[in-house]
Amino acid sequence: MQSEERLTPAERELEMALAMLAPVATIDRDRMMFRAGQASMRGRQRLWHGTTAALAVALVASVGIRMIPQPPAGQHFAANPVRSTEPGQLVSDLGTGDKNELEYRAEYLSLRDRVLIGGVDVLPAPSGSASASESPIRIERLVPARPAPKRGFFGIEKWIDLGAQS
Amino acid sequence: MASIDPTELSTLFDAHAGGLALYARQWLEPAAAEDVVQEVFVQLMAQRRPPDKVKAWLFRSVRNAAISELRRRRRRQKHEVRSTAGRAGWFEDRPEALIDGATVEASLASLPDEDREIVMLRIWGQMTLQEIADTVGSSVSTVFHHYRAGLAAIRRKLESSCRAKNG
Repeated sequence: MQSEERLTPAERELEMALAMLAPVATIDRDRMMFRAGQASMRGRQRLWHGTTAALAVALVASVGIRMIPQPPAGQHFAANPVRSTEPGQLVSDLGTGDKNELEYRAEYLSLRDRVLIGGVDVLPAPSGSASASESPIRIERLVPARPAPKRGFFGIEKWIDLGAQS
Repeated sequence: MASIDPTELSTLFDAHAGGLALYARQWLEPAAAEDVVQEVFVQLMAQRRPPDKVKAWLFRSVRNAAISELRRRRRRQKHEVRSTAGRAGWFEDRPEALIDGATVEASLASLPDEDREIVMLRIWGQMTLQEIADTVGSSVSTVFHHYRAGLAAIRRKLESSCRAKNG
C-alpha cells in the first residue's frame, strides 16, 4: 500500500509498540458459541416447520379428496351398442363392420342421454311385431343379473346359474 | 443452514474478539461493548451466506451496533456522566509491553472521534487503509490523514507523560 509506505520510521516504531498492547476481552466464549449455535438452528427449524406444514396440507387435501363420494360401481355400459332381436337375450356385437353401425351408435347415444335424464322409464316398450331392422337398441348389463334365489333342502337358498338353465 | 462452520467461528473469535471489544469501547462501557461484540458474532452465525470479507463485516457490524446502542442510551439519559472510577482498563498488563497501557488508553480517549476510530481499526483491527475507508465510509487519503494525526497525538501524549514522570 502506498499510503503505509509514506509513514516515517518514528511512526512505524510507534505503530509496532502500540500493536504489542493486547486489548482486554472478557467475553464469555462458551456462551457466545452456544447462542451462535442456537441462532443457526433457528434457520433450520423454520425450514422444517415450513416443510411439515406443507406436507400436512397435502395430507388433509388427499384425505378430503378420498372422502368425496364415488359413483356406484357394478354397472358397466358397453361402448358399442348391442343389437338384440328378443328381449332378455344377451347379444354381443363386437362390431362386424355393418354399414348401419354409425346409425346405431347415434341412436344409442341419443337413447343414453334420454335415460340419464329421465331414467329407465323413457326406454321404449319392447314390441313383438317389431322387425329386426326396427329392433330397439338395448343396453344389456355385461355383468349378468343375479337370479331370484330358489329354496332348496332345509330351506337353504340356491342361486340358479343362468348358464345351467335348459 | 449455518453458513459459518463452528470451528471457523471459534477461530474468528480468537483472532478478532479483543480488537472488536476495544473498538466498541469508543462508544460504550466495557460490559455493553462486549455484549455488542457477542451479539455480532451470533448474527454472523445466523447469516444464510457468509459475508465476502468477514473481518470487515465484523468491524462494520460492531460499529453500527455500538453507535445504535449509544444513541439508545443517550435517549434514556439526558446528561451522561463519564466516570473512570472502577472502569476496567482497555489493555492487559504485560511486562513485555514497551509503553504503558493506561497512558495509551488516556491518549486514545482524548483523540477526536474519527482519529481514534481509525487508529483502533488500523492497529488492533489489523485492517488495511482501504478496508478502513470502506468501514467508515471515507476515502483512503482522508483515512491516512486521520491516522497520521492520531499517531502524532498519541506520541505527544506519551512524551508529555514521560516528562512528567521523569521531571
